[in-house]
Amino acid sequence: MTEPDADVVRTAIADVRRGDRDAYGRIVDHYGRRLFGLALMMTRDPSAAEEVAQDAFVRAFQHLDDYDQGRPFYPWISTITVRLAQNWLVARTRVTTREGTGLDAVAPPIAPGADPLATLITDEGDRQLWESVAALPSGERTSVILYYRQDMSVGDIARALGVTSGTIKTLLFRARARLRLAMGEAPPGTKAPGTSTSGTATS
Amino acid sequence: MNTPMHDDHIAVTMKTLPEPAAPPSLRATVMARIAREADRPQTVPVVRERRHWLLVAAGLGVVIGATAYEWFASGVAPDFTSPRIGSALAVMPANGPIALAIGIGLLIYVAGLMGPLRSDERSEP
Repeated sequence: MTEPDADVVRTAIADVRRGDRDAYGRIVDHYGRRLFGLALMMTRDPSAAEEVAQDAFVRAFQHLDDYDQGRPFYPWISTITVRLAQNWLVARTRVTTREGTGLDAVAPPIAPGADPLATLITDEGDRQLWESVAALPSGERTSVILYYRQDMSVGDIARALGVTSGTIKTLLFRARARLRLAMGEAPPGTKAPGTSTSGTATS
Repeated sequence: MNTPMHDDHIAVTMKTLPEPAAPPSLRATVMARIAREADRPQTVPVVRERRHWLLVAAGLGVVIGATAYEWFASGVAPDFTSPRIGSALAVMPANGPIALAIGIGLLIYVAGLMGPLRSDERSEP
């Protein structure tokens, strides 16, 4: 996989390795928005998302020697972001599963209009879907975001979150079922409900 | 309005969701943190590690010193012969203050060994 902006990253990293620390600012400028957006989707909290994005950039800088320049940069730094955001979610909810990752933590309700992302979405159907995704338990939400938005494979998501691929498949399966219900569709093999279902976050 | 929902629908919608702007201070904050981290002298862990090793050495010193004192004070030459070939089994000194000193030395030794673990626990976020 190649990144369209690989040259920007390559030159910036080469400059940093030559001792020009300020060159790293170009990477922050380049990926700041994407990483902040990713962190915001996962945490649903702008101040937490900013903290996570900052930590991810600082940590990536500290471990820049570990980065393999033959591979695209974004998946590497986004994995750091995902781990930090997941740590934040776990620390916040203090709910641990058997695997100790808090993947089943239920998303706390968010006040209508308080979701910073939902306010940016103009299409009603898209907003409805995002609000349903945002209301999923954090593990399911994270899996949906990484799988559908970040284009990560099930194996990559499992590695990033420190769980098995089976766990991610289960989370995706459950998430899709909840989303179908939330969007007023019948789950496969059942009768179509007449009305849409609210409160999708409850398990 | 309910939209038919398939895998493709989720994928397409998720990909087209807008990205909020990053906080304007993100670059400045990140660069300031990197500068702070780079300029900070890395002496704290070294000093802490040295203190633990000093505790371990001090504990060992107290134990060895107390044992040696016991041997010298009793006037009996230490016997390093293995019990398997005829030596008597080594016993803890019967002398109260010596036994106490050895006990304290062992405690200091163990505290030094466990020190890094306690420091790690404290520094966990």
